[in-house]
Amino acid sequence: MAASVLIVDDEPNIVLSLEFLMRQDGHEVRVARDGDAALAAVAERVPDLVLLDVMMPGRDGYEVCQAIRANPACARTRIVMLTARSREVEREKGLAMGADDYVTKPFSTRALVERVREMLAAGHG
Amino acid sequence: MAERSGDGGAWLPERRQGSRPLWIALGAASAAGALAGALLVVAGAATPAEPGRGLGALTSVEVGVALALAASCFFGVAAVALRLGIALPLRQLAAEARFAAEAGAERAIEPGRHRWLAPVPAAVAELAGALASGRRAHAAAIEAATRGAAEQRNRLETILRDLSEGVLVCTLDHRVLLYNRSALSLLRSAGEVGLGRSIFNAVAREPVLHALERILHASEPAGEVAGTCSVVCATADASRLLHGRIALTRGEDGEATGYVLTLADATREVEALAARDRAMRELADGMRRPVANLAAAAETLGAFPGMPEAQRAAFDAVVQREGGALVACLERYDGAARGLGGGHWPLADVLSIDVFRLAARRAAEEGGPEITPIGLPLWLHADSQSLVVALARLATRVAEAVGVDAVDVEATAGDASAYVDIAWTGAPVPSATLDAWLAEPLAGALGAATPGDVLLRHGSAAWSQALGDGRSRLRTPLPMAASPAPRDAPASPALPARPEFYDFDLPAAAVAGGDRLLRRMEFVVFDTETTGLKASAGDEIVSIGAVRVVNGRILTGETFSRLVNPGRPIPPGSIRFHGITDAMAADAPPAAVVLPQLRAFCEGAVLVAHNAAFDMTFLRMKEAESGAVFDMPVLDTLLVSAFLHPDIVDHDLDAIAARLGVRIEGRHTALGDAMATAAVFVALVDLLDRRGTTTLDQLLRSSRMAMELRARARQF
Repeated sequence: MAASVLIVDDEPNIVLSLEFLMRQDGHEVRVARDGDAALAAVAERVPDLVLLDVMMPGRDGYEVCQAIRANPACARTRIVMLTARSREVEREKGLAMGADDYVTKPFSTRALVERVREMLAAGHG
Repeated sequence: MAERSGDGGAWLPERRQGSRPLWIALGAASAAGALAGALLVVAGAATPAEPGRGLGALTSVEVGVALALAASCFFGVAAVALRLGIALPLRQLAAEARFAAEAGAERAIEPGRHRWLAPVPAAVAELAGALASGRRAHAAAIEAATRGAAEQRNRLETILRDLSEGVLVCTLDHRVLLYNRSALSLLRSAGEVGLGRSIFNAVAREPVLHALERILHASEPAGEVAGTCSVVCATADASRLLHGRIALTRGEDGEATGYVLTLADATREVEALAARDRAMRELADGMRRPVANLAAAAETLGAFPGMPEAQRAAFDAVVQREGGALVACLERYDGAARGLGGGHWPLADVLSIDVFRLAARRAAEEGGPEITPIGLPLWLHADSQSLVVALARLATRVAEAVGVDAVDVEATAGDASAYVDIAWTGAPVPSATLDAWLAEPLAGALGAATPGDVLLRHGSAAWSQALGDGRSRLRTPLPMAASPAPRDAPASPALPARPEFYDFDLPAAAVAGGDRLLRRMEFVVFDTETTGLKASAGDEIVSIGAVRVVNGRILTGETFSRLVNPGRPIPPGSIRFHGITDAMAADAPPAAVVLPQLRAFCEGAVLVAHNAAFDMTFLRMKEAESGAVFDMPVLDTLLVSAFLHPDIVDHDLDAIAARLGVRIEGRHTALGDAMATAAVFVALVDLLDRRGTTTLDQLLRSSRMAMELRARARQF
C-alpha cells in the first residue's frame, strides 16, 4: 500500500538513506529539515507516518510530537522517533509525548523498513 | 546517747567505768565528813557542863576539825557538781561532735541540753551543720559533674554508633579500644573485631603501618590536616577495599597514645570506576579497526570512480561489514555503560514526603503556588537539597503559566525508577516552554545548576502530558532507594543498643603474666553441647557457644555460636536436652573447621567454663585433627564456687547463680549457657576479689585448679 511518509531530520546523510528506503517501498515521501517545516508539512497534508528525529535546532522532536498529537486531525498518524539519544529516560519521554515507537541510532535499515510496514498495516487495519 | 557503739566511741565506756569508783569514794567521804561535823556540833551543844561555854568556847582542835570537814564537804560537792554539770556533758558533746564529723549526722547535737556549757554546744552544732551542708554540696557537685560527663559520653556514643563510616580507636600496639557498629559490619566477616584484639585480625597490616609512619615522621602535612593521613587498605582476607583516614590520638602531655581510624567501603566505587574505564577502553579499541577499514574502503571507492563492477562489489561488501561491526561495538559499550549507573554525584536515600514538604515550604515563602503532597511516601535516592529547589521552581513556573495557585505532587513507584509528578488542573506544558524552564539557573542548588542539570544528575529528564479529565502533569523519573535490607547483612544477633564497644581501661600492654588482676583480665566463657557425656567413648560436640568478658563486662556484642557436625548420629536422649537434630547438624561444618575458629576467638584470653573438665576433654580430643591447641589457662566456675564455699554441696550453675543473686535466662543452648556461666563468673570474680584472691596466679594456686581439673577429666 502506498502511504504518505514524512521524514523529519536535519542531517542530510541519514535523510539520504531514509528517503531512498521509503521510496523503494512505494511510499510517497516528503522531507522536512526542521521542526517548523515539519509542522507546516503536517498542516498542509496529514501524513500516515512520521519518521521523527529528536535533536534538531529550533523546535525539537518532542515539541513536534506533542504538537502533532495535540492535533485531532492527526489521530491516525503514526510517529516513529529516530534518535541518537539512547538513554532509557529519553525513550520513556518520547513514548510519553505520544510517539508510537522509539528507535535509537544507529539502527538496522532492514529492521526499520519492517517496522514501518507493520505500523502502516496496523494503522490501516 | 553517748553510749552509742560507733566506730569512734569504743574508748568511751571503759574510761567512765574506771573513774566511777573514785567519784563514789569522794562523794562518800564528803558525806561522811558532813555527818561527822554535824555530830560534833550537836555533841558540843549537848554538853551543858560548863556554863557560858557555847560555841565560842570550842577548842582550836575542834574548830580545825570542823573546818577541815566543812572544806572537804564543800570540795566534794563542788567536784560532783563540776563532773555532772561540765565534765560529763563536755565529754558527751565531744562524742557527739566526733559522731557528727564522721557520720555527717547533723542532728546529733541538741544545743539546748547542756546548760552550763552555754555557748559551746550551739557553736559545735553550727559547725556540724556547716560541715554537713558542705559535704552535701560536695556530693551534689560530684553528681552533677558525673552526670554531665555521662551525658557527653552518651552523646558521643550515639554519634559513633550511628555513623555510617566505621570508626576504630587503637592503642599504639594496635589493639582495639573502641569500635562502632559500622566498623563491626564492615570488618566482621574478615576477622575477629573486638576490644583488646589486634586490629590486624581484620585489616591488612602494611597500609596502616605505612600511614602511621607517614604521620609520625611527616615533615610537612602536604595539604592534609596535620597529623592525619588518608589510607587505602584491604580487609585482612582481601575481600573488600577500604578507604579512610588515620589520625593520632594524643595524651595530655602531647605524646601519641594511639590512633583513630575511620573507614568506608570503597569496593563498590572502585569496582564501578574500574568497570567504566574498561568499557571505555574497549569501545576505543573496538572501534579502531572497523573505522579504519570503512574509511579506507570509502576513500578508495571515491578516488576510483571507474572501478570495475566486481571489484566495486568487494569494496561495498567491506563497507557493509565494517559498518555492522561499528554498530555492534557501539551497542556493546552502550550496554556496559548503562549497567554502571550514574556518575559520582552524591545521592542519598530520602523520603519523598520530606522532599515535598520542603518544596512546599520553599514555594510558599517565595510566593509560589500551594503544593499539596498526595499519595504514599516513597524512598527516593536523590540529592534532596537541589531536588527541593528544582521542584519548587518548576511548580512555580507551572502555576504561573497555567494560571493556577495550587498543584499536587506525588511520588509513585515504577518498574525501574520512581516517578515524581506535579499535577494540576489545566493544559499540559509545551515541550519548548518546559525546556526553557529547565535551562534557567537556580539559586541555592548544589553547584549553581539549572533544573535540567539537577535532573541530569539523577539520570533523569522531565516532560508534561495531559492526563485526561482536564488534568495534566509534569513527570520526572527519579532513582528509587535500594531495598531496605542492608547490603552487607551478616547473620549476626542484634547488637545491643548501648554497645560495649569501647573500653579505654584496657591494660597498657597485653602481659601474659598471671599477676594481672582477675577483674581486669580478658576471658572467654564457653560451653559445649555434645551427643553424650563420654568423650572417650565416641561422643562428639554438636554446638559451641562462647562470649568474651573484658574488664568485668560481658560483651554481648562479641559472641561465638556455631553448630558442629558430630560425624555420627545424635542420640534422641541428648536431642531432648539441647534440641539439635541430625538434620540441623548435617549442614554444619565439622569440629576440625569450627575449633580453629574458636581458637581464634579465644586468642589472648583465659578460658572459663562450668565443669570445664568436661568441655576441655572434648576440645583436647580434637587437637591433632583440627590443629587448634587450647593451651591457655582454664578456670572452672564449679571449682571456684567450691573453693569459695567448701561447705556447700550444690555447685550446679543454677544453684550458684541463686546463691550469688545472679539472674539467668535462656539456658540449654550453648551460647545461652555460656552467657549464664559468664554472669556467674563475673559475680564469682567479685567475691574472690573481696576475699583477697585478686590475681590469676593466686586463684590457680589456692584452688589447685589445674590439678583438680586433671583429676576430674579422668571420668570423661
